Amino acid sequence: MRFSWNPFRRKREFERSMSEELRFYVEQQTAANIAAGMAPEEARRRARLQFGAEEGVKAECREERRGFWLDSLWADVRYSARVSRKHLAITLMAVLTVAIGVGANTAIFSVVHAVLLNPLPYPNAGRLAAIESGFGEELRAPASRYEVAQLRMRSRLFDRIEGIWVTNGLVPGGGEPEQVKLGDVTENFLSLLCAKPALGRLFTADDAIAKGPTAIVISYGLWQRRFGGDPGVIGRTLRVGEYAITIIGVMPQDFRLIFADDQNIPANVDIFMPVQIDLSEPDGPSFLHTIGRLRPGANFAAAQSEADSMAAQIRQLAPNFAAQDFSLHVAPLHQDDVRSVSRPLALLFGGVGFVLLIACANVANLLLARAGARGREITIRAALGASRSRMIRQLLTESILLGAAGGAAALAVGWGALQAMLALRPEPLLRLAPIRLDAAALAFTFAVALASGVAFGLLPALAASRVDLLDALKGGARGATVGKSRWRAALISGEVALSLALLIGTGLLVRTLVEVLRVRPGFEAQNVLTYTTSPGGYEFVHRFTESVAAIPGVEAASAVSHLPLDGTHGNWYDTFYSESTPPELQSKNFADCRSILPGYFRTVGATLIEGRDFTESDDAAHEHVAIVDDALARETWPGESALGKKVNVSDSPKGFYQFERDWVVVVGVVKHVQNFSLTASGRPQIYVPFQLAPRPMSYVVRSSLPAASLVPQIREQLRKINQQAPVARVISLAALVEGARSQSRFVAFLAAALAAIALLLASIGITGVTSYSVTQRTSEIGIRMTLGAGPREVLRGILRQNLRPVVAGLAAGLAMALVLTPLLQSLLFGVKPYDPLTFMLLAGFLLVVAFAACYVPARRAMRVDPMVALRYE
Amino acid sequence: MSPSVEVLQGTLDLLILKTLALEPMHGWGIAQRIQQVSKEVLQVQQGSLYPALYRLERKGLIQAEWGASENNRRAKYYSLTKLGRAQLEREIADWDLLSAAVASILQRA
Repeated sequence: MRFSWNPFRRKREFERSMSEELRFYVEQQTAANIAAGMAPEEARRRARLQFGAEEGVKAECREERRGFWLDSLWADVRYSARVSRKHLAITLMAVLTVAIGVGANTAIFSVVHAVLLNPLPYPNAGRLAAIESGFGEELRAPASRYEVAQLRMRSRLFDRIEGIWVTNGLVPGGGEPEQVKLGDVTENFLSLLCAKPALGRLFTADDAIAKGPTAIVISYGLWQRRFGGDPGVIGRTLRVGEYAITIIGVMPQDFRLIFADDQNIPANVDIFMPVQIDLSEPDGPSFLHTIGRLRPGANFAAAQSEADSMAAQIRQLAPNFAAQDFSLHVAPLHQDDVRSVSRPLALLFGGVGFVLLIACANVANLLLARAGARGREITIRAALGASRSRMIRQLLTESILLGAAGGAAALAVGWGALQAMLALRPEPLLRLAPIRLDAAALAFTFAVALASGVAFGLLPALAASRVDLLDALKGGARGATVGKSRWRAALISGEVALSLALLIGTGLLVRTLVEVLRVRPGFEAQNVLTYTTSPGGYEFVHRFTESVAAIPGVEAASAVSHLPLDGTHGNWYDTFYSESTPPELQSKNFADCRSILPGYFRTVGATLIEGRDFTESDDAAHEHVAIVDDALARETWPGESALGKKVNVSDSPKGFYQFERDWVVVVGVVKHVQNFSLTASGRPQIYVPFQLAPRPMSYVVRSSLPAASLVPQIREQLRKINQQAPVARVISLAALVEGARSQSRFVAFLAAALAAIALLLASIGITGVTSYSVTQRTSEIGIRMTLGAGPREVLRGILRQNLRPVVAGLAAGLAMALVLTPLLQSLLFGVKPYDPLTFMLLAGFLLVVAFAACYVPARRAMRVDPMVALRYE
Repeated sequence: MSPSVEVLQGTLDLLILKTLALEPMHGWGIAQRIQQVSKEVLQVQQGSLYPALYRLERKGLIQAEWGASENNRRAKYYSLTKLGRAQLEREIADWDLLSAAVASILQRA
């Protein structure tokens, strides 16, 4: 027979052919009857009678045919619906539990999918690599133009090597000039990341001319804000700083820069300018964050080998590269981007998987209880001839339907959970990808829900369908309880173990958060406001700061080139050495360099340990001085005072960014400041006076005045000095500190939420199981009481029985935690993975909770009236 | 009418297989053959014939094909598969064993 893929077609075919075949039989019998001498009608009637009830025969044939499963599936579904309605409370509880367990997974999966699994939104994203330069122990440094030129010349596996550096720029316009982010890019950087501009064209090699930029590409946002989306913007000029440059293109609306956290490249850059790459300055500054595109067919391992040999070649070219132990590091761009979040996300995903397992265990227990209540119904079906596999199939259908219903509800729960997560504003995640519940999350939800349905349904189905007919029909399904209670106990142990492991992990993360909150960052962030404006020379910077300091209510005002804990500003760091450092070690030590005005330390509340602050006379004409931090002093001159010692640093007394090596005298030592992270100590620090290293500055002001009243006064003062300059990016130092805490906070909050859900589910599970066992054993309790057992003894008995699996679970949970907490190592701060206090405290806590969950239903056992219990059946 | 015995389900399968071992046949023909060969002792309950045939087909012991009957009507012809032949051998062996055992208990020859 022709096999049709359509099951409904198959069924029709089958019915048709079966009818035809049976009809043939009857006709043959009729013919035989006629041949035997009967009249035609009589013959036919006889034939029919001899055949038997046609529908009955057809029904039996249908039972036997292939493809019958579709029919029986539908029957099972209808039956499951009836059963669920009958035990509505259990059904609702189960659906809710599944919804919570699966919903939490949906939320976390959405994040994991968006951030870790989705490729970057660039053409050929899989072939893009981050290329980092290494100098000694600094492995993630940007490249100089010379290095990029060398790489382009030598590499055979990369067909494009491009770089970007982001600074601030000023765009004058109606009202106040706007401070924007400027991207200095190599000529093919934009075309590497963007297939087609929204308008105009992208850069070519001709656009990067040494004399100065003659073409710029602007962002979609800037186009809308400044030019109202005018399609004639191509060819118009835009003033950037002191240049007026022609706009040649507009980037698409959804274009974003996605780079690793520590490279401080903002997602939205408003103006791109071309940068020329040549071999002119072998020891020029390193500032380009470099990416490359592999040729088709090349892989990352081969690219790293090529990078290693290129680094070796470059080391031989110029002495500074050899001295600094130059190396190159290639990594897939996506992997590099997510390096700071991939571990926490993976751990959260694991944690939420625990929650799902606990939810499934709870539902399995619920279904076991329901199966117990349906003992009679199941036995009757068995007696009527249902095979065990048929019943298992039906019970599984029930649980899969539960899973499906829970999955649908889980979508709502997951969406809500996701919104709650996003409300915590985890910047590192939001920066990497737009996070939402998409088709992949939908598919994941249903896959997990159905899989859970099978998982929590299998055990009850197997247990419930094992029926001893004789025993069961005699009355009371008591025989089956013993086996089932072992399973219930095992499930409870499992739940407790998983809950404890989650609790301990959470406890460690919460303690980490507490430690992070307690970190003294080296300055007093309260009451300090920061802001920037257009760059200027010493006169401007000095006058501006003085006038702000004179505002009534202001305690102190100063300026610094790089604010601490500011994630949007590229760093300035370089090598340093003292007079006693041998030549071969002179390029080994790096320090963060900062240019400051006098009064900076007092304004931000940093502690001057020794010596003095800068004064206005510490300029290029006088002795060049510097202030170092205590870490640098300790490492470079152990056991001695740093004051009066000389240090060789890189600064630019001749003007903006005109770097040269310079000997400076240490006149002060200040306590180390946390520049980039609250948890990592970071490099040592060197401060030089502004006059030795003029740079665009960020201004700081300490005042108890609220920003709303302070900022207008600052604006006032600035306008008196320079009409054009805006007061931009006003942000409090406290907000910067909060930003540095945000990842620890986010992770701790999520872990706590998961642990709370797990605890709740486990408690409900324990309560449910204890309550059920009390109900099951009511008559037994009645008997024992009649025989003289006191209520207290009964209570103790119930507690002992139900707490045994809990204790076993606690032991298993401790073991699990011992194995798993080392995975948290990179997230922890100030607390060890094997912190005994956390382990013991939380195990004790869970024991108390479990005890309470047991106690409440167990108390009911004490109030059992033996007379009533004995009559109870 | 000679005394007749209803054919039990398990035995029916065996009889069908044996009947088809000789030649392909349609359902009506199988029923007739069994009744004829057993000299009308074995009456095939028509209501159980077709379910048995469908069951055997599902198990892969027989296969079906539409063809023309003796009087040129469309009929479904069944034939033994290789699997069916092997099963038939096995069942005949089992049957012999069983009937010998029962006979010895009943102390008949």
